[in-house]
Amino acid sequence: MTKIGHKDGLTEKLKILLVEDDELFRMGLKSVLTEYGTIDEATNNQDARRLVSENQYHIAFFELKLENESIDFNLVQKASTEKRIYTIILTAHDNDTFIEKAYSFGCNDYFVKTSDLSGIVRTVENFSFKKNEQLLQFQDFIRHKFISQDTYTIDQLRSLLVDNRNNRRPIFIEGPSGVGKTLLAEATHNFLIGNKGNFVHINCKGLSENLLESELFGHERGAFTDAKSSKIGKLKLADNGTLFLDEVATMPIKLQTALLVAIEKKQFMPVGGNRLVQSNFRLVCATNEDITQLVHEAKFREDLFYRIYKYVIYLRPLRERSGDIPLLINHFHKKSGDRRIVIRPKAMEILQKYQYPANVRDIEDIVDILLREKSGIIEITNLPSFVINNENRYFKNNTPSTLDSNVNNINNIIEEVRVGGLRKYMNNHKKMIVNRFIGLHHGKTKEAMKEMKYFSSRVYENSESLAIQE
Amino acid sequence: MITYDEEISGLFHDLMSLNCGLVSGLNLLRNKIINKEDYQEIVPLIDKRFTKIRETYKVLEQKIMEK
Repeated sequence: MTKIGHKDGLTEKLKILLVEDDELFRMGLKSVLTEYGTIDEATNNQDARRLVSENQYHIAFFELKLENESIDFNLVQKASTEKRIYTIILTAHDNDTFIEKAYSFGCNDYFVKTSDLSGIVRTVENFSFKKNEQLLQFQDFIRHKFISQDTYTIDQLRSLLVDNRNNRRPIFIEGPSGVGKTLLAEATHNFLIGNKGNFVHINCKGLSENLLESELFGHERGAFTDAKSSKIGKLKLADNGTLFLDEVATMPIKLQTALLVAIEKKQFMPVGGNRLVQSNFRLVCATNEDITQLVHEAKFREDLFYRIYKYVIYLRPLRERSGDIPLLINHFHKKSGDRRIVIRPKAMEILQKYQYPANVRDIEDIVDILLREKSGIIEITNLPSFVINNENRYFKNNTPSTLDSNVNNINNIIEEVRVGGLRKYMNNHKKMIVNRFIGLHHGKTKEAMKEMKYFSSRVYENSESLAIQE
Repeated sequence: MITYDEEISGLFHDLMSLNCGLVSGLNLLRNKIINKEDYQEIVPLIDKRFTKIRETYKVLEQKIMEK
């Protein structure tokens, strides 16, 4: 494998194709891409077709309008789907129809030509980075610590690293309890910041407002009755590092306001203090609640939501990635250091169908139960009854059924429409859904629009506000 | 509100595209990242590009005035 020097370490040399008839623009692009690999050029469809057939490129750039002809979209599709080339349309056409057409033919990115080539360089750099050492280590973390083979999960985690290594934007981790949110937050710190700063973890749930305020912002001596000495807050401890706010949705509104100011101004006032304290940290938040719903119900500040809900990772519950269950069972089995047992395939099938309300914590418990079985060979009959019956062992009687919950939802909707009218209800929900999709696509509005099949110039690409114009 | 037909929109597109190439070429000159032989190639290309932009703009101007 050919290697070239690169600021992020050794990287495999890329093979790039430029299909562009404008010689000056091609020369400019070549000059910035040369350091990433070798570049072939074509000025018409015929030459491009031949080059795509004869070579295996990593990345291909296509201009839509060539001399006396338009780009052959079948060629773009072939490059993207058959040859699995990362295809980028690079054109002066800033038009939704062309953008939609390009994506429908399988292109990966669409850039409008400007004199600033930094966006294109960043894309190529990210593509190149996907092959480097740090990413391999991160994949190792996924395989051996996070333990997942779920493609959706792995793709998200890889993107988390690739998309955030050159910025300090907040990361938001959503998912039910026990899916590894804290583990991922720690890994995010280790891979994105390392030993340049501290990883500071605080769980916002269960702390009184005053205590949480003091924990976050610190306090001066005598600020309140028990403040016998001054204390440095978690925000300051996380300076140059990562502040992980677990269960952020439970944070009291008053503190949300103070946190918003601290994030925006990178400075805050300790409790009872009279001097501002500076701190520059990466914020990672997690919750197992539906934060968009809390915003809708005015239980979470909308402006803070827009500030922290920029790069969203959704960790799926175990029941939605049953392929990971045997891996996790095997992991906890070995980790226990206990005797070895064998789980019969039929029993494993039942284990894979169980609902795991507490997710990975349930796996650990169940492995523990199985290790205490007399028989070293686990058949269906050796499984705990709650697994065989697929019962939620924590809330046997008080969990509402799906039907009840649906009926409640409909009643809530009817009440909301009665109060505010249908138009307001639809607008609120449209905004919420659009923002949610943009969040799930990590701020890439066009990708979100593509998935929603909703193309509108009112949804503008502004990762700072993550909002739609109304 | 002024609306442009496909022909005028196309001319705008051509101008934007020509301009990107021009700026790209000028950047290469300014940043001195090309060797001497390439200068001999790029300088006349930039000169031609200025002419082409001027010509295309005159066509666009005429089309707009005709509307």
